[in-house]
Amino acid sequence: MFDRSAFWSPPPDWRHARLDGVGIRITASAAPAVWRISGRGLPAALARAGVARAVGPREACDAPVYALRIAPDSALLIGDAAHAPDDADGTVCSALGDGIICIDVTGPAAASLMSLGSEHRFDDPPGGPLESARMLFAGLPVAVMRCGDGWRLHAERPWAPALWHWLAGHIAHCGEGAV
Amino acid sequence: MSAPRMDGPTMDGPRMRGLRRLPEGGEIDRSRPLSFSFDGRAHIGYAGDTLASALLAAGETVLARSFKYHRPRGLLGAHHEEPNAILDLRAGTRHEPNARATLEPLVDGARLSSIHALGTARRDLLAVMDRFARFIPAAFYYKTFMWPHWHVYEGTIRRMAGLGRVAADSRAQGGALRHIDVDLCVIGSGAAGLAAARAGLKAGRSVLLVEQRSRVGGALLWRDAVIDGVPGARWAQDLGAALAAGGARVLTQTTAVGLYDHNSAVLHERSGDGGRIWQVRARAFVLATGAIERPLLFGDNDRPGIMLADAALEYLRRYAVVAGSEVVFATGNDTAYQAALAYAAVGARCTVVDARTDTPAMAAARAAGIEVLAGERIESTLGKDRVQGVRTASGRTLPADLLTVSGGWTPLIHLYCHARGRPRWDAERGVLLPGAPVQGATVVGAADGARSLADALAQGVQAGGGAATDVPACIAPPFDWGGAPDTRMAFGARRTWVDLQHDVTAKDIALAVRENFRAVEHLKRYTTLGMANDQGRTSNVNGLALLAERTGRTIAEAGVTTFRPPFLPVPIAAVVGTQRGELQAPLRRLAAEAVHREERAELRGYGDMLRPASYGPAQDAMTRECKAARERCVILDASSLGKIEVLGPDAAALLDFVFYTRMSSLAPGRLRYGLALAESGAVFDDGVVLRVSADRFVVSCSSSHVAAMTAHLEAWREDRFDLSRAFVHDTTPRWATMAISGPASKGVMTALGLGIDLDDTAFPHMSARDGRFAGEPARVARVSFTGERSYEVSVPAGLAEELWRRARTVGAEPLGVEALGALRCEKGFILVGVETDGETMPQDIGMGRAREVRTDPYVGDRSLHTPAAQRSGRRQLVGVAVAGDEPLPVGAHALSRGARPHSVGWITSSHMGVGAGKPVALAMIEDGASRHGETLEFEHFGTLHRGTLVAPCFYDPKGTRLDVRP
Repeated sequence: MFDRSAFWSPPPDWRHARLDGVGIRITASAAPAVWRISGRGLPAALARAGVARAVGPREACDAPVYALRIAPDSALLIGDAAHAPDDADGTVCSALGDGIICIDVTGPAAASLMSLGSEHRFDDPPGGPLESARMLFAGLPVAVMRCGDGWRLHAERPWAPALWHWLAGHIAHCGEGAV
Repeated sequence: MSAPRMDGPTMDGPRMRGLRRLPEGGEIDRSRPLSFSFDGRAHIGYAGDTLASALLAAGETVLARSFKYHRPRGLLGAHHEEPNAILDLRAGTRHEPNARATLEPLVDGARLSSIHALGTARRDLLAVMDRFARFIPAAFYYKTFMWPHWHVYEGTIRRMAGLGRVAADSRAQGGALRHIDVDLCVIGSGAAGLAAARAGLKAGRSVLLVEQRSRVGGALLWRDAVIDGVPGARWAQDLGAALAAGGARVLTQTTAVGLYDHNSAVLHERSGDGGRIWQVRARAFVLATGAIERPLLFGDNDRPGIMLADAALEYLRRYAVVAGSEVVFATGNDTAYQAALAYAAVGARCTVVDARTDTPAMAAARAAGIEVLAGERIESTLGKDRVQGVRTASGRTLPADLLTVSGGWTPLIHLYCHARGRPRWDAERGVLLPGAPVQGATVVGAADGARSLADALAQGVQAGGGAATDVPACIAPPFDWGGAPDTRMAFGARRTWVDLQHDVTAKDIALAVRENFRAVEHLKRYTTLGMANDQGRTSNVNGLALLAERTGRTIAEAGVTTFRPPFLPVPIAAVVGTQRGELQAPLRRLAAEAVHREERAELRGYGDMLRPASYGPAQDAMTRECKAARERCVILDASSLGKIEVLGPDAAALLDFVFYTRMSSLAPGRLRYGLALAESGAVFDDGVVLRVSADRFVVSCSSSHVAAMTAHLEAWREDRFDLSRAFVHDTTPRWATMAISGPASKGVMTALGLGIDLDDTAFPHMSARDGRFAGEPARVARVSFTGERSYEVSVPAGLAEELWRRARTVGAEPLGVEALGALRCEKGFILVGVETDGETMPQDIGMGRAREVRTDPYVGDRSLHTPAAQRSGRRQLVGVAVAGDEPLPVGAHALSRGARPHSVGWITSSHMGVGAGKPVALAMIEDGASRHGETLEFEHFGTLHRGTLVAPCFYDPKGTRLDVRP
């Protein structure tokens, strides 16, 4: 009676997850390696990892190693094990391993889908220097980055299935009600 | 504007059958006839019709029955002001139980039914209620239906109340919520709104124009006007097209239902099934929401066939429907004469009854062949189920199949009030107008009391940021606001209806005043005037005027009520939109969910996480899993537990401040159980803290409280710590944690080969060690929630399935959350939020020592020393032992002794204790800690149970099982 297994769709297999719609493609992968770095020494720590600066939700980035601005003194560094930071002067670092799922939303209709999930003006030029990449998208906590012809949504692994199901449920609504 | 004359037989007053559709004109498409039915009667309408215009053209006059007295009602208005015509609509798969006939477009095959009638609107068996009207006036329910008690009558009255019925199989679908962010949002596309939108676009701003009707133009669509040399309707359509072509966004069939803080608005777009919600953020709003006509007050002013004059004109001009052939126009202002002239032009026999003695409009009407009775008022109407005539105050009787009424105008200032604007009474115009400006929104046009079309256009241009030179030239009849409501005919021999939706009469208002409900807020609530779903659009101001008259005050002195969202009812389907099913309240997922499904776990939501409740049906699995935990080894997916890192030189100090239990004295590699309190001293959460190193801790908090605990730590970090010396990082998503528990758990851990020395001396309880699993780091903590020897193994989330399968291979059996609940219950381990509530303090659950010994500050410390915290009678954690085999019901209340027993606490958890071999329960009982041995009665839905208060641990109270060897 209380078994809700059938109600909840199983999570996708992240190795093969993909959604296609008219003018839109959505793919997913586990982030290779992720760290949360905080502290006054953040810029230097990022520089040591080969990242010039952390980006917000409207700054485009296509590098394989990049950082997302979370707070004025805190960022997510996404890269690979070779770039593992450590606690250096003025910073602390927490490994997040494969706890983040990256979902890429790309294509001409990507902007329409993004507008369904948040009131954020994703298409506008980059905002202020301290704009955080973290926001609620579809009511779920994600960090957003512009990349390629779309956006990359970084979702915590436990929330990633819910985000995926939301994207799957809304891909057909892109363009509906557009004015 | 000229109107085509009617074809066919001469319009001959009472002998004219039914109502007519003009052969040409209007916005309908006569090449697309649409079939529909109303209460089983088949009719034909046209594309472009609303349900209301199609019903009107088909001769349907009785469309509804009133709420209380079941009086027959017809169309009063043509749009959202319509109070009566709410119907049940079925079209295809769509079912709308409360469709507003004046807003719904006609679709082919629509099946309409009247609602709130026992039978149909035409023949309602409950019409007999009107004969008992004198016994059920306003507020009758405060004085009657009391003996022997209200509940005797409640069921019947509830069944009679309400409007449409939602079908059990209803599956209305809403569209996806959309967001839009613009510089200028203009609400209303009449003259002022269109002018504002054009000015805004010209000034380079992004513009959103919102219109309730199916096309832009507002009243320009049916009233006489010439703007920039073209008829107003065409000017509006041309401008609307130009706006869209110029990049403005135009939403029709869309209502602004609310204006909210921070320059935001919510729109409801009526498209498809339930429609769609838009959330708008705008730098500025222009509220060009217009004004609606007021009814007149006289006897039997609610009969079908009584219509607002402007509505009659709209039906004629937009839908080519002639609502009557023998028409009386009752008015006290000039604006009604447009309707009279238009009806006369199509051949209707028209008579104007004007309370005024002489105006230029009268002369123009007489010149058009319209009889004008000056200085006259309507006393009452004739007819039963529809108007057949009127009686004037002088005693004259006039035949009529349509009576139009115009008692003045009411600006629509709802959105202004949503933005906390306070209206003011304008005595000269007899209207409530916006008072002081509100931030972010400008009211223009008729909504702001504009006296002419030219005024409205000028206001709109200015609000849009344009210059005076941008104001278009216009020619239009002057707009006569009509002054305050005329109450002289309101208290005649026949009942005068004020609020048609709630059946409130003028005598009800007088009754309320006699009973001293003289304040407008009291009047509203006592009579329910203005409290129906139309929010009193056509009744509020008339009601205020009657209140003022009865209390010898001016309307301004009588006061005003306010308006709150939504402006119009919004279907739940639109609010839900696409957030249905598993999208409505999504849950976090375990990384190993796939293997749990393979093992046939029953999955349930626990907090915000989907977890295995049991492996197999819970009833069978509980005992099996508990026995496995007590006798062998089990594995539980504990990945939901929080793992919040607290780092930096001040990490220890931060934790000492946030936790009731001091954590700075932990050695690296050691764990400690602790409570975090709220400032009230109540338990906020509990958890286990691991010290990894001098400056790094991991807080493992309750599964459903991770986000809250992270925020709690972060808030206090920011409040009182150097932000460069303390940090909070939630690393919960990184880890998958499997709890391996049971007397045989050490053997399973050995078989897993994590590279950790498992000797109890090297690895004691409440400590942690680092190892490796599948080449990746693994952290193992000896901490137990079952009371057995336990190891919590944390590995990278991507290895969750592999760890589970390996552990199963080497002998661990699955344990679900339900069985875990039973195991921890017989150990007396609390669950925050189950044993505790918003008042439970540490001393209530046996953890009062820190309160006595700590002298350094921590969250909640002062609250723990208040009189309330130290008084006797506080509920305290106890165990409850029962005789027999049946566990006590959770929630059963313990009763005090004596003549009037009351609750002294309740059962919080209850299970069959496999380890204890008997039913076990935990409870929070007043002074429970000092009442061990006392037997109490526990009441649950009328059944009494007996239980004896004991210490809360029923199994292994000394904790020897933690280090048991297999």
